[in-house]
Amino acid sequence: MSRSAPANGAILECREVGRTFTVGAGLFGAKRPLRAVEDVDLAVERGEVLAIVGESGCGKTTLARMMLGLLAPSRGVILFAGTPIHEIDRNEVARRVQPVFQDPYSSLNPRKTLEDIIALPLVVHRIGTPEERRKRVEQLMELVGLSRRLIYAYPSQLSGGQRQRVAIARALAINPELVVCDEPTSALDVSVQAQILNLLQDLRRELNLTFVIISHNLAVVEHMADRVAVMYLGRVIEQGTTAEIFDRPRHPYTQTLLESALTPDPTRGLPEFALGTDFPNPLDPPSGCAFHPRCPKAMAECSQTRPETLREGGKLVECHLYGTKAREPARLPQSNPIGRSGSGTLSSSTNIA
Amino acid sequence: MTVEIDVPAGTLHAVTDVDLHVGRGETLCIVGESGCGKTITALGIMGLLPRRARLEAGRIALEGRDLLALSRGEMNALRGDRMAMIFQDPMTSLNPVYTIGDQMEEVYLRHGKGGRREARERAVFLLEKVGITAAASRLGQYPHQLSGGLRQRVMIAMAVMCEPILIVADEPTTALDVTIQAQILHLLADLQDEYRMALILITHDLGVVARMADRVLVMYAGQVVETGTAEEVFAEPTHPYTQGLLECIPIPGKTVRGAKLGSIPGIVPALIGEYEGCLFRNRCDYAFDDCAGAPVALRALAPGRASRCLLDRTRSLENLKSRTARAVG
Repeated sequence: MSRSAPANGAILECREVGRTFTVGAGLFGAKRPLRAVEDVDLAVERGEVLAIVGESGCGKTTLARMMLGLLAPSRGVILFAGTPIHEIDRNEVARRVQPVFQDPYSSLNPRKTLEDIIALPLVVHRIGTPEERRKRVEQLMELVGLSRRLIYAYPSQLSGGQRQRVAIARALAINPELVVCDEPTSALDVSVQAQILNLLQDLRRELNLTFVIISHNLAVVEHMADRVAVMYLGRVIEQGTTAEIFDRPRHPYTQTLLESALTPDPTRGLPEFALGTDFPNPLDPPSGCAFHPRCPKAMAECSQTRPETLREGGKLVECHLYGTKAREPARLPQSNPIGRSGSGTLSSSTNIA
Repeated sequence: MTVEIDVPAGTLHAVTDVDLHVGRGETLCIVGESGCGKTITALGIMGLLPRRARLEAGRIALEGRDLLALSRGEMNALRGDRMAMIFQDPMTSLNPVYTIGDQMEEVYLRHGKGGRREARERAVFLLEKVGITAAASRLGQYPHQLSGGLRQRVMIAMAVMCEPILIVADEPTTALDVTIQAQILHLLADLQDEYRMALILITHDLGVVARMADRVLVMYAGQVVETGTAEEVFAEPTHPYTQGLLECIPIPGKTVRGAKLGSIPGIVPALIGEYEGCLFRNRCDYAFDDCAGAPVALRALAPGRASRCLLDRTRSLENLKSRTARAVG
């Protein structure tokens, strides 16, 4: 297994990280391992936005929980600023990495005022006097665009967008180095989503924050991220800069994923593709390449051997089409899945004979 | 159609003066944000409103038959037979203690379409049609044994058991992954073509609207603010709310990556009690004095095209152009 070179300035590094859960099959069934995350090598550079995309059940959230230090990896190691995260004191991890969760309705304590909610990290880490904390809370509320008069309000009095702002203010209270956002806008309406995305962009610029954004919304990912990692069944199957992933996706899964994203273009119909079977059962993953039963370009060897991980600089792809054995890379279509050309025709370029 | 709901604080004007019609084989999309009255409109059409909601409508007719004049029993006979609804979350709308076979057959038997054997055959046929493999064995399974995508397919198959002429789908793909979403929408479109059904699709996802709709109804605060064909609404949105919505979403290839997105400041007004003027005026960039006057009526701009805005069309288009120019940079 090749290992990525230690990246300079990486704030967080995953090295061959895996996590296995043990799942019982019914009352008398044998316990079986479920490999939620496998062999993930990722590095998050300081000041960048790394997005992790994939379908539900692909292991994105498990990976995020490991990055937050909430879950220990079964294999491999997660380095935070060069030190294995499990060797760092829990409180210190919490001080340096903060989460923003998907659902601002369930992630805020309904019986606390905004002041209590936003100041909680300061209290936990014993930072400042009560007056200083209050000042800090006011400052944070201003930063995320919440009116100061809401300081004694309860979450139930706020709209979804306001609640997500509270969650962001709380995450920023102790100046974390890394913020992990798990589906930060999927519970919100589009007009509110735009406000929150703009806020995250502003904060990133002003505070030089590093973000890991987990999302299944490809438009959001394309808009926010510098680099993208695509996960399928626990593995990162493609990784690259946002432009590389969105303009020249290489893995057939990435291509399908981009094709199935519906852009608001009424001149185009529904995307034509056949993914065949459903998302595979992670308890019984397919042999060889996990994507082969659904892959439109599957070859004989795909069901037998797992493709090797090909790395080129920051790019990564795991697919037999690009292995050392693939002699004819020129045959691969220049796919243009979401019609950046602006032509009104339906792209069918990804279906090769 | 107007729906008012009595709440402790007064009367909630959930839906006000919605007019809509949909023909056979046509897809009408109702789009809007949470709380704009999309779902209440759908429930009103299906006769499924909660008891404390008051529905006032001139006429709701299916194939020329006035649904408002029907008794509950007659409505029950129609629902599931001539018109069917697909809900957002198949896990909560399927009965967890019955097998999917039982639930699918029940629709068929209840409407007296035939006997058990025919019901079973039809269920198998439709499950295969919606792309479920080993359909016969699936009939004995319970909803929790299926994945989200499969459950939604079962819901769709169940909705077409009696070959209805109208399907109302309320956010049918919101809970699903993008790859599954595309498949489910395909399936709906294919079935619609085959049976020449009218489809009312309710969604907040403008991508779904653009790809599926023949005609679009944009709703805001219980009112229709704009109607037109999908091409018209997306190419030349006339209502500032529609314009705002379209600017909010990053569009690959158009929106510069990382550029600031447009946003609609403010929040939806409370719809309890009486109101005057345009409901969108507090959030509108173009609001002027007249907007606070009498309630704004839906103005016809062209056949099938209407907008609830006092701005004249040319002016709002100019504004739109300058705004998009700024947004795209």
